[in-house]
Amino acid sequence: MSPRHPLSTGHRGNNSHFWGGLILLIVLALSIRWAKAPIQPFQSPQSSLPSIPTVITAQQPQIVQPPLISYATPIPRVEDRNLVAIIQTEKPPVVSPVQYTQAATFPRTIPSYWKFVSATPPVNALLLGPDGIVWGATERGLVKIAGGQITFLSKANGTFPAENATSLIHDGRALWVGTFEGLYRSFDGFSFQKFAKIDGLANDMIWSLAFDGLILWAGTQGGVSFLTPGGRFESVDKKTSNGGLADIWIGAMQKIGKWIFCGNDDGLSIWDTTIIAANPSAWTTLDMFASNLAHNWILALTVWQNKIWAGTPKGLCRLDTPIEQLFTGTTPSWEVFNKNRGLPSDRVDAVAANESSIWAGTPEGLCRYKNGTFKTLGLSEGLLASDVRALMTASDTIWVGTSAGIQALNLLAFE
Amino acid sequence: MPRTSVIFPILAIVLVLAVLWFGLGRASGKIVIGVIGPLTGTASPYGSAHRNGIKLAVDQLNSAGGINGKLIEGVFVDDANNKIAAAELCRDLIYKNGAVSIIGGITSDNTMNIQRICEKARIPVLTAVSTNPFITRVNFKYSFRCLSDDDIQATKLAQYTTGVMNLRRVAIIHDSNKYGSQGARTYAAVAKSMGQNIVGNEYYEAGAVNFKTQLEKIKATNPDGLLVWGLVHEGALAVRQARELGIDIPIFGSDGIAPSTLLDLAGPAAEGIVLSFPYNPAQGGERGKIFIEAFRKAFGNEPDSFAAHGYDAMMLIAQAIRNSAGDGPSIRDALSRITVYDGVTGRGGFDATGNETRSVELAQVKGGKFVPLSQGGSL
Repeated sequence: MSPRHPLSTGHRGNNSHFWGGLILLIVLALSIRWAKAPIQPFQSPQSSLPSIPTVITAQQPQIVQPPLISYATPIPRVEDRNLVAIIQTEKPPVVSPVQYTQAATFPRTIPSYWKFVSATPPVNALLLGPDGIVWGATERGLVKIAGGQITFLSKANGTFPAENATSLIHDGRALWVGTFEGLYRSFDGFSFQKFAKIDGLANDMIWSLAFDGLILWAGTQGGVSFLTPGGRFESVDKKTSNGGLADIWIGAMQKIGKWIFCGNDDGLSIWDTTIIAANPSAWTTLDMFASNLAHNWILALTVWQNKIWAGTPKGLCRLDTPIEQLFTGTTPSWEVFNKNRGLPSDRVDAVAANESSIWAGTPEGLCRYKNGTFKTLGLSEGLLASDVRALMTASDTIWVGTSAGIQALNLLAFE
Repeated sequence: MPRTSVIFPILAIVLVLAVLWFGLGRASGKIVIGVIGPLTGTASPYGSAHRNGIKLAVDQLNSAGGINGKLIEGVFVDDANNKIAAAELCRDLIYKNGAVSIIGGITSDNTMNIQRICEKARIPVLTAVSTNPFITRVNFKYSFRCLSDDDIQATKLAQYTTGVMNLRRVAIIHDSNKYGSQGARTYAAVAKSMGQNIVGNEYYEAGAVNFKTQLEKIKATNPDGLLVWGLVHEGALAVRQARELGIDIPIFGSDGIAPSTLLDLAGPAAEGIVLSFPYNPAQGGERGKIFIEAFRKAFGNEPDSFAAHGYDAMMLIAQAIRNSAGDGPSIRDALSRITVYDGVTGRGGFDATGNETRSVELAQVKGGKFVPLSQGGSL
């Protein structure tokens, strides 16, 4: 007969119930304690701004296998081999104009030409979907702005599968979200399908996205990838392109005609996608050593007035040489706009254009270039933080993402 | 059921739950510092020394009670000198482990891929080894370096090779990565401005073991000096093969070939090489002596530049955390205020771009040892 436990009251039955219950409670407590991922919930920056109106959707993110996707021709090729058959698809819907309701309360220090202001985690990208919904990719998940209501989707609240979001694009049917844990597609804004290296992506860390009306392009930590009709990604890196792609971190991308512009840290690599990627003659790279490009790191790209504009750590650079000539040995010519020319900072993290202006997001404010002159908006003009990390133009509105939040500039009121 | 029989189990449960809730889990009060470097592969001599220097600093800080009452948890990860791995590990350290600062990487390629993630996540990164000037020349707010960069090293080498060694026809062999290519480019620009001709410029891929093709081309240019800018494993083999091919001219090199493994890998061929030498133990004074003793005791060998700079990096991060709210942006702000510090590597400081301000020494391999030129190394 075993000795009795000191806590025993003399009844063996009670004793076993106690220990059984205690073990169950410990298991329960451990389960509760470690059930959630160890994430610090986002804390709103200390300011007089209203707290984030968070709407948590009940539906949990779903990770499912990607179904077959179809595209119209042409499909770029990495190597000279046959791809799966091409199936016709519908055209992307027309983007409709959006009306956004101004939030009810603003500090008086925010001028009225800002028609929308909300504190969020640091913003990495902004997108206006064809359904009029504005999406923000942030360091703590997604922000959805629709009808004046803001919904925050995050891993912490169980509504988004990744810790952060870096990039956004809409292909007319679905929202694509680049994260550091993979590429996600959502048709409804609630469920997310994951694409990763297993699906052919060059790397799970997505830095940039582009859509040319037919093909989805993903700039990753390990090269550039594009979605084929078979629902799988093909990838190109320095090795498969035989050195054509100068380096593999793809910070920004832009598709113009048959060319895909891949901004990396050895310059701007351009691929003529009518030629297989493995052929080095399909590529040319513009860098700071062979041209007057301000810096090799390409942080942002856009097109304005039929010219490529690149944001770099040393200025906003406009490519003045026609693209065709770049493949015939012509030395590229860049017009460089930096602090000396009126930018608030040399570094340009984001660029966007509307009809009359090009906008640059810098660590020291938002800057508009119009009719040959720069105008800067900083904290005193109502920016929540001076570091403009993301930009998006939409009709008469400029959407701005900073480390402190998202806001929309009413151009009609601002002018 | 007697009342006491109910009270004791309840008390026990409350006690267990309280211990679990307050005493365990992530809120244990540790400050996570991520350390990235190669711990395997040919670049592991740098990563291992770097890790040991940082580990010693962490142990000393924790023995003294940690920082602001919290212990430091150094999370050491092995990127195997692969820049994609470095980026993925940095992501995990920040978003999964909750690192508030990153120390790393070792090669400039890797550090560049780390620093872009840190800038996005607003987590400061301090490299104690990478010397490509671009790292602090990209206007990134969260990037710092506590080692003289290639601009400083190349200038010092060019001044010495033109002014003292009187070399006029120099050939370069360098690693094709961003450390080697930018270092060679920087040296060539500086040396040309000082009247030196660069008569040959050859490169090799990381992991190369045979350099004879490049060295034959270099030999044909009839240089009077050979610069090796790369990492120690390949650099040592290049030096040895140069001597085997009868290239009997002064050889000089970057800090990448300065680990003590050069002496083993190159053997007698290393004798006489002049090197950029960022760590002169004499510069650390009494603080440096204590560090060397502690390092010997902990690891049984002598600390090199990478261990000493790693130690200083951890102490600089600790100092910044002490003077901050403990989050990434405030640690970054505190780091940027350190314009002067006294470390085991001597007196240094950050400029407005986060770059190290001090100059660098040169040393010569003499009698199988690195001898600083200021302490007797000479041609």
